[in-house]
Amino acid sequence: MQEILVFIVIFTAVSFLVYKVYKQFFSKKSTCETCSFSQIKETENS
Amino acid sequence: MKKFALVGNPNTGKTSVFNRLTGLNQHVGNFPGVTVDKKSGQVKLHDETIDLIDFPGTYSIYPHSSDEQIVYDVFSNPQHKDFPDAVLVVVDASNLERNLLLFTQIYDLNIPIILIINMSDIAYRKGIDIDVEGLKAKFPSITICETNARIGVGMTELKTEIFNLKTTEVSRQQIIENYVLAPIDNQESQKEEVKLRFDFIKQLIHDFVKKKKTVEEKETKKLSFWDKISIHPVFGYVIFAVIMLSIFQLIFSIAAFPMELIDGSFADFDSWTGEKLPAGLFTDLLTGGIIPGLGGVLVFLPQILILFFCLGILEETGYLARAVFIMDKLMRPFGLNGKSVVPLISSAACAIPGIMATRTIPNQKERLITILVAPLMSCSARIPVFTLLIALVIPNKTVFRFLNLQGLTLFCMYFLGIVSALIIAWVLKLLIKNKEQSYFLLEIPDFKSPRWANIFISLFEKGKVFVFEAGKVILAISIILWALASFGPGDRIEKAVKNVHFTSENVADSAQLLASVKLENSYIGILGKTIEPVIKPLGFDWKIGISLLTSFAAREVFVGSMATIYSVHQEDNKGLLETMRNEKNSLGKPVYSLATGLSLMVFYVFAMQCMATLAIVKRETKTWKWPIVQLVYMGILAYLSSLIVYNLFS
Repeated sequence: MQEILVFIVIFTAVSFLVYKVYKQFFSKKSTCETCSFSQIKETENS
Repeated sequence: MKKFALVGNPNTGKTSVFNRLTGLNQHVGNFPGVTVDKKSGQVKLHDETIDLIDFPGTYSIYPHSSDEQIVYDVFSNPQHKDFPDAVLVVVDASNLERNLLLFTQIYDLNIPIILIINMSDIAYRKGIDIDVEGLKAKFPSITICETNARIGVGMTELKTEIFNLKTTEVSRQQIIENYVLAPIDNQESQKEEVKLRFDFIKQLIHDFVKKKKTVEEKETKKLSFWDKISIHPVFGYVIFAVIMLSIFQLIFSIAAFPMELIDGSFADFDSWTGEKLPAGLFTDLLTGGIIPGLGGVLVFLPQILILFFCLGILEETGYLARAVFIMDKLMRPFGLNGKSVVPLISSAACAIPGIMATRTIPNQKERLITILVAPLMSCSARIPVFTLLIALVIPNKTVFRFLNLQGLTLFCMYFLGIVSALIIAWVLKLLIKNKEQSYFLLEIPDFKSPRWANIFISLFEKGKVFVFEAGKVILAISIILWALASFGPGDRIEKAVKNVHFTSENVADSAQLLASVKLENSYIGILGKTIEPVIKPLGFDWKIGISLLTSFAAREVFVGSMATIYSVHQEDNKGLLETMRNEKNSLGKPVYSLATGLSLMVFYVFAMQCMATLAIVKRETKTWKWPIVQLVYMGILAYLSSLIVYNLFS
């Protein structure tokens, strides 16, 4: 039982970090984790 | 839900009005498609709620920066998602002539308006008397309120007026007949329009504003004395240095107790959890990964809050604008534009808004230099790293009779960041030729007593973000580090444990020895040992190396990583500081000597350990070239400086 819980927690942590890295470099928004200042990529038309 | 906009010139007390109206019902998002933060909140009265959007401060509807452009974009397009049902225009009562330009532009757009004449206390002190009834008669279709938002005067009346406001289209006598906004690139017609408006405003001021003899002569004199001394060519810098030094002293003297309390509580909670829960892998994850990781975040909350509290006071009183003013003179010889000062000062809190603020620099080369040196200013994410290492290697004693050595060391780290930013900027100035002359315009607000509610709301927001946003990343990395430190390839850990030979010399530390052997043969131990030869000349062991790698995500991750690495396989958790203090190398000497501690701090002053900053630089420069240049030059600088510092002090 404990092993399953550990697997779920580690899987969640890895997925979360992959999502964070993707968000920083490839999505529209990137945010500083310490102060939450964020920036949205300008649209091509603006 | 109705949507209202809050607009006004910078330094009109717009934020105070916003905070008074929304309280804690506010959040920060983004305007669609642009890089500008959108602060919005809800105003509640009885059962009714109104959405209030706080727009960036601007002097005119015609923009000079990308921040200001959002005002033009929204108000020129009634189909815009954020186009408001009504506008609250905040003006500074003591400076109506300049402030009314924006008001007249919004007025002519035929959107329902509440004109908020704020800072009435300062106007009174300056002997300015505004005929509000006369203004109401002049503009019968709009609502006018007098407020002093800093202390809450007039806010109840304002709230009532907001909810009584009819938001249907209004018809009124326009200042400029058939007014439509000039195209954004047609500066000639904009100038023409602004000139017409100022003619109208001058007449308005003549009719409705009277300047009496100053009511509180003495107080005004006192203010001008402080004004003079705070921007004095010599005393200005001395005062700035003393203020900053005092803040760093406070960080250590006040935060020491809550820091020890949090550290100790987490260590106790960790031991208690280990005892109460059934033995197993999940319990190990809790006691070796999750709880130390969480402790690593929370233990530095007091320092971060104290720093932002002090900076909040400096900003609220109007001192920060004066600090920016004197820093401008200092920075010019190093090739930095006066406009670089605001981004660089902002970078002392966080490099991201600092780099975003470089958009106000019209000269592209100067802007690039500012972007390249901005991350050298010590941001708030470095505080946990510096305070941990200072507490470890710098004795808590007084020097020169009144200075705390730990606080002084922190001040030196910040100072090192500023000096290196200036030197690098100077070098870049030589490499990148620039012929354009630039100028710097800054409005210096009057000195005033701080509004504590503003400071505490901002403190609450910053604390919440640090715990919940930085906390999530630190926690996730701690969990992964725990997994990498708990398992090894095949049965390598078991074999290594079997091969441990206890002798009469090491049997007393058998638990410590076994923990160390397990860690060294785990995945993370193998990775750490692989990179150790590269970082050994800097005085770092493989555990520090692992934390350097993980803190590339964000600097503060360093602390959580150290907490996890040191607690895995340990049977009793003594708290991070205590464990690190007791850590010995193979020669039996402390790992965290003065030389190693200083070398590590200097490394963090220079190294580009922030993924978010690299992403922003890539976006702002629209190429991968500059973030890579920045990563490489800062990495080399960090390595060489650490090497020098380690060899000097060891």
